[in-house]
Amino acid sequence: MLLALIVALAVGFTIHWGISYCRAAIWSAYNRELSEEVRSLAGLDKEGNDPNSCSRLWMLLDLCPRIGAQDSTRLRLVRFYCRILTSLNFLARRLGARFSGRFQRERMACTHFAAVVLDRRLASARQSRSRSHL
Amino acid sequence: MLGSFDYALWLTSFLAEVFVVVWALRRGDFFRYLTLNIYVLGLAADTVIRYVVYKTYGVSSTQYAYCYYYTDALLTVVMFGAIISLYSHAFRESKVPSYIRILAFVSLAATAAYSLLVIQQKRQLLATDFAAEFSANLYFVGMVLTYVLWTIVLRRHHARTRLVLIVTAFGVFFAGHTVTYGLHSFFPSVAAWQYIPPLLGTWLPLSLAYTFARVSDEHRMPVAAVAGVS
Repeated sequence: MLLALIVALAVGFTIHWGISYCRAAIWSAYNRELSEEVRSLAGLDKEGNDPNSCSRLWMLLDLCPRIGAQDSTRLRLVRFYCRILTSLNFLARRLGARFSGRFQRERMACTHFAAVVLDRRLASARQSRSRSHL
Repeated sequence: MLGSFDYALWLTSFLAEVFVVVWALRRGDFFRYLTLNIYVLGLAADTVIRYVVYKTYGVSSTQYAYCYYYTDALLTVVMFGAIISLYSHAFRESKVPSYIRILAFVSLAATAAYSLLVIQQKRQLLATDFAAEFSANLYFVGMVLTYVLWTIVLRRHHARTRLVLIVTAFGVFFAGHTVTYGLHSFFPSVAAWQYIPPLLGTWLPLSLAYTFARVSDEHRMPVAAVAGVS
């Protein structure tokens, strides 16, 4: 009985720390200062945190040229994750603000991720254009 | 007999361990995370020793079992030292009452000393079932200590990303080992459990290599975004 409890506890901790590690790794890789241009394009605040800008950002990302982009797979994964969160958030809003708040925070991280990718793509597009002018 | 999968894990973990130490030396982080780097050096040495013993005596020999559990237990004690240093990093970050600090250090040091004493006194039993039980207990204690460390790290609104990554990597390592030992006790006939410890043994140096190479020591992150707490 005690062993079963320990195993259950350890499984919980493994999952919890695993998720926390992934979140921290994504955060450290993609937490960059956003340019003014992207913030005004996507309608983000100074911190770059507006969960409702998500759909606008995905649209802008579809329009933006992908010059040397190596983050398409990760972007697709995050986009899929964001869709799930949006659906869950819709359901959670009926349960209460506390539940909805968690999903909103996660969506904010997705928005920030998308904004950073957009920023990078715009910068590389600009760089490539200036190179072709030379 | 070990297969290509085991060799690949062996080589990957060894390269990651060497990389961590070399990177820390080059970037001047070696002394900042001294016990952690000593532990990683120990891991690299252990990889070489186990390989030599395996090649000389074979994987099913008593010598290999003795070497495996003896070095594993010793390294876990060194790892407690590394955790003590992580505690001191975390204490420097957050305001924790001094009596809690002293209690944490004393309990950690006592655990390490007790473990060392058991290893020395029961050395002749380290190729028997006692070794597996002792390792399981050490990993469980490690998991609990990492959990306490994790709660201390979460006390700050913005924690150091490096510390968060290192602590979570240790957490996955300890909790993963505890799960494996537990499941092995419930279902001893399942062969799949034997693949998990080498995977976890590769996970730790790989994650440390990533942390040291990609995350600067000054970088901070909101813990709420990582831990899902408000």
